[in-house]
Amino acid sequence: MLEVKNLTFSFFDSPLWRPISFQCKPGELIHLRGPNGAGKSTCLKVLSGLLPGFHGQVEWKSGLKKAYLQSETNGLFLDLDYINNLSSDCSSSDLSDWLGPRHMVWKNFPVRNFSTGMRRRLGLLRTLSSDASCVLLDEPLMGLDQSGIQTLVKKIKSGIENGQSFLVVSHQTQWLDGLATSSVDLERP
Amino acid sequence: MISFQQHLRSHFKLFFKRPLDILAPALFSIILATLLNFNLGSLEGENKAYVLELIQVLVIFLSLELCLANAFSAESEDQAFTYLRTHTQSVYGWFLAKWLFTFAQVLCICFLANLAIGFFSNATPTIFRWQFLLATLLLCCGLGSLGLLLRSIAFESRLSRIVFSLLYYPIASPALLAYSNITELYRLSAFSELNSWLSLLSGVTLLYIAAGCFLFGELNRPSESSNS
Repeated sequence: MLEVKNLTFSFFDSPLWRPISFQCKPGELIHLRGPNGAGKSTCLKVLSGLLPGFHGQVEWKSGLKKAYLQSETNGLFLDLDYINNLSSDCSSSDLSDWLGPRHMVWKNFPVRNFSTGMRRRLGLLRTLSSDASCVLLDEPLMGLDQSGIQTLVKKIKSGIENGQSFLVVSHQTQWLDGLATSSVDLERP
Repeated sequence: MISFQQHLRSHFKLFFKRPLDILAPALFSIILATLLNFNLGSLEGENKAYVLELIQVLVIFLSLELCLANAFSAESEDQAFTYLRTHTQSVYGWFLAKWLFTFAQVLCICFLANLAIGFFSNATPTIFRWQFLLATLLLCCGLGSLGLLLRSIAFESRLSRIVFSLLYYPIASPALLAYSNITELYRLSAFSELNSWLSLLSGVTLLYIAAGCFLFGELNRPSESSNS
């Protein structure tokens, strides 16, 4: 699905991390780890195809769909309500799980009025319910409460069972126990 | 993944949810047209027609500029632009939806401004005559497409305003030249020469639309596999 060989990225000719190599197969979750400033988010951006100019090799399976959720933003149209921000393939059970059983109360509210946590839930719902074979998540817990974390774990588990693969950047490691099949450490050169 | 229909639906909703995006340029164009009309004073005949033509070209060009300046304002919040790049089923669909609504915006503003021109100058605005209307439609279509393409290129650049201006004005000049010649020939009733300029404007418009459709996708789609 994804093969990475000797990947690194440089800012002003100075590499951010030592070259990394790994493979990601269907149904796997890879945890990208490293200290602040090690380049984890940059690495995900490179893998998503948004950041050119890297060194090494990134080989995705041809025609594979990938979804990418950034760390501090959710890519929402803030003036639209949550229904218009979602694609049509969201099931009502997904909506209840992420936004609560009374989610219709917010039907006509622009997402701009949502709290940080609710926006994150919406971003995760949209990303995880897409038909992508590989999901790249950058600090998905940002703003999430305990029940949100439980929902996230449940959805990732079911995604893995369905053959979806995940690349996750997270400083909190406890919730990934039993989910991560391997981890990749980004070390400063 | 987001389909063309979903892009169309979102843009349609955004059209009504972000009224300032259309109201601000519309009000600006109407006020500009009205103020310039007051300056017509005692001008009559040929001179009045000439000044009206200038006002019209100015209003159309400025409303296009304002619409293009705001074209990606909804996407600039919460990094929706980046999200759409990675989650769009068809980047062409995104471009087409954006282009259709920019075109609709500019057209609305042009008509409102021209109504103001007609009201204050007691003359039928030239936009309501078919050749002129055709030329205006072609100009809005072509420059809308070109402007969106260049705005998207400059979107993530720190020097986006300079990058856009450096690229847009030189490339748009053939269309603007053809359009200003059409307005002049129309005023002089030199209809025999009108068709050659209309053909030039049509050709350039097609080129801009083709460039927008093909390059927008190529430039904004994330790369699948690469090595360096």
